[in-house]
Amino acid sequence: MSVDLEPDPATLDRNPVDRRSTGYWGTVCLVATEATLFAALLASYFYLRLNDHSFRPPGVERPELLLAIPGTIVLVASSGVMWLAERSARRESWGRARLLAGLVTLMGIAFLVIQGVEFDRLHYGVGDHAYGTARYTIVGLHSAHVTVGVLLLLFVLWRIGRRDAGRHSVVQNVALYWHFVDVVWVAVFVSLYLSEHW
Amino acid sequence: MPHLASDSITGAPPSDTALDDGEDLRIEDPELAELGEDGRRLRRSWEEPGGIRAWLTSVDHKSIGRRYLVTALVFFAFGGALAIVMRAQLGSPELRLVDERTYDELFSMHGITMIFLFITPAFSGFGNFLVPLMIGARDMAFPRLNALSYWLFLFAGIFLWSSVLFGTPPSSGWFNYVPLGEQPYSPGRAVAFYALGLAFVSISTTLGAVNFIVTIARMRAPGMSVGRMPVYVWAILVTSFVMLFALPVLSAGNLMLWVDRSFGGHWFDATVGGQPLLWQHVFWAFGHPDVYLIFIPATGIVSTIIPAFSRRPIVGYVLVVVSVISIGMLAFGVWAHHMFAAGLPSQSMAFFAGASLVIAVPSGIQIFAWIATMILGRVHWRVPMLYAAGFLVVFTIGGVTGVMFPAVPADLQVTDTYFVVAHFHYVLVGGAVFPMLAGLVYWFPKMTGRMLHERFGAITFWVIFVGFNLTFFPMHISGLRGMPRRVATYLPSDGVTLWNRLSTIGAVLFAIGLLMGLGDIAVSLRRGRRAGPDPWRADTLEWATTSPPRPFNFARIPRILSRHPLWDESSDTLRGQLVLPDGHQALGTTSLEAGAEDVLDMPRESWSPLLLALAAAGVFYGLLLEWPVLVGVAVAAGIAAMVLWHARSDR
Repeated sequence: MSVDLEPDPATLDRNPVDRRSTGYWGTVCLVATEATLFAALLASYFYLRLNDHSFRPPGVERPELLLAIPGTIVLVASSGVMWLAERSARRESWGRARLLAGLVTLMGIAFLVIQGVEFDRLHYGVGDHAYGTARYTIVGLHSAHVTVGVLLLLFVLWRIGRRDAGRHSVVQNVALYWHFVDVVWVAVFVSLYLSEHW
Repeated sequence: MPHLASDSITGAPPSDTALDDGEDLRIEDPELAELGEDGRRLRRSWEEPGGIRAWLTSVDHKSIGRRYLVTALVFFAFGGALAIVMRAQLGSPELRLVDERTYDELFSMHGITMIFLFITPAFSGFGNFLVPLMIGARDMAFPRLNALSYWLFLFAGIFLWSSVLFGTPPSSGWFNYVPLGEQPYSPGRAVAFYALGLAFVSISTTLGAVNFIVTIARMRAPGMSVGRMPVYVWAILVTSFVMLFALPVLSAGNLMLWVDRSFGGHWFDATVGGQPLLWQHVFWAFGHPDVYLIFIPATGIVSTIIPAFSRRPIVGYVLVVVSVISIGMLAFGVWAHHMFAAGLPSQSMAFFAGASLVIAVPSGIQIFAWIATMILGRVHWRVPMLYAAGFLVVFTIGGVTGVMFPAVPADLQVTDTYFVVAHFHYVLVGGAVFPMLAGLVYWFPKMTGRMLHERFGAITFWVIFVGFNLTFFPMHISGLRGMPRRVATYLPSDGVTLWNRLSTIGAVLFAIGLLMGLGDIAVSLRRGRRAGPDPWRADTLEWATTSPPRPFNFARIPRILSRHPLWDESSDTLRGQLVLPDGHQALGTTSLEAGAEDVLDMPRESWSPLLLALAAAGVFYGLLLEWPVLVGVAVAAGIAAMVLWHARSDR
């Protein structure tokens, strides 16, 4: 296989904004390292849970699904909307992309509100037992990531308004981060909520 | 087998005669002159402003790499000074130079400084300086992110050492076992400095790793397919992947520790469902890969130097690369061999014992490849080669004791004794510091344009080699005689006085050797012989450009036809025609074959990395002092810095 060793610069792309962009590669790496952070915390949670039958102390209620399920649905659906927004951006229909990204932002905020209500309804705190500590640490860290995602989405909304080539990359990279936050939530939801009801 | 242009490494490089001291290399650069107007435009678009502003805003990977090295060496001196105080204390039984608490602080700060502020960043420094040069690129993929990594490292180092000014340096060891590290047993800010400081420095290292991965994947000169990458570049790539997956585990641990301490959490509190052993698992799940992310770049340096001074390509390139990759992967499966004395289930111990033995295989392959390269080549015993050979000896001794630990019964005998201290200094100093010194001597001409003194360098090597062995070999014996580590003194009746005295004398000798090396650097910086582009007649691309390299590294982007571009028959094959003079530009290539793919406009010097790092320092001090206002202000400043960063990237 041969490669062109003497390319003519005029024939080469300049600053690609799609998946070849270095920014996208960098985002992939950062997502990988953040995912490992959550994996380590979830592994720690299971380590404590499997080593102690009363890890969730007697009298502490099982995690409620009443709010968590709608929250999960909102967040997973927002990933779908984000995908549509990215597709619109690729097709250069920026008005639509902006509208959809705005919708994702609102869904993210809705998720955070649901989380807030849920934390408010808990009868224990971070310092009551290791179960509470794990719950507050992991869900809290995830909420922090969603908050960062919402800020990034606000940035996307502003950035789409500035008509230059770079906005493609911004939408694509923030979309990747947003999908990552959603996938992590599914892992958290299964580990901390759903598996307690099996 | 490539033809070698010259079989000997001559003293005076031929192209050097026209240059006098003090002359500006860039102006006299024949290659640039040849390019005429293109050359002038190239120079204009890559030159950075001078003075203090250059210092604060530069994004040139070469300045950042040199800074990383200098800063890391300063921390090396700090960590070394602590070690000397400890050795003084242990020079005789029942000395009381420092009290127990201070002694705890000494060994804790020594370990933290050496691991996190010296060895890892020093290798980042080499990588920063060398990787773009070795792959024929003009800069790292993310130049400003690179500057940010440096500033974060610097501020994290200052953060950790400011604990001394606050009067509360960490004192529970570099691995900070709980429950000792928990609030009731270590009140005050010492452990907060540890948890936050390590999280801080981890951010820097992670960003650096991302930068290396993308740079190596996307910026290699056309023709440098993965099969032609220098082993050193492979080593940095593998190290970066190890960092990407190991550091977040440490950060998870530090997050849990911080939640426990600052919010009254119970991750590690056995009374309400937590587990102290969890900290050990998390710490070593990071800590053992960390050993390899120290060792792998060191082997990369050795795999560069041994072939260069044996005048032949490395034996078994593919095997060596596969070994590096498999060490990187196995590194994640051996952590519990640090915990055999902690009471793990025996099946679990058997698994980790097996994995720890397996990792000796790829390490052994590399050692045999180096030895075979030396036997099949013609070794020139210049100073870098002395250090590389010293590394082989010292590291092999460390490896031999290393193989003893996976034998669980033997491990139980020596856990927490000086035998372990001896072992890990043989692998860390022998396995990392010797290659680092080899690399310093080897690349000093490329970094500064001057040679170090050859004879003096050889003497320095022998002082360091003897000093090192005299310091750490007796520790094997004091350890086997039962001397526990981390205890501030010992009794005359313990029977370890002689061995400790030898260690202390060795430490002084070791320090003298290092100071001699420093003196050599100080003198040679001004008075060293001019190096010329390729003083060692080596094979990798960094020697194809001026010493020190110009801001754009290569006037014409090299084209690569083999693994040893500078040993190819005709050096003309190296010279591409691509200049990209229209601005601050670099060439992007495909990740496997390195076919030319796109032209990338690279960012210029910028204040944003420094501002963002300052904001990060504000956040960490705010968390440490529990001042929410400072955290809030710093976060706002950080967002502002990021907006500035982004606004300036618009092309």
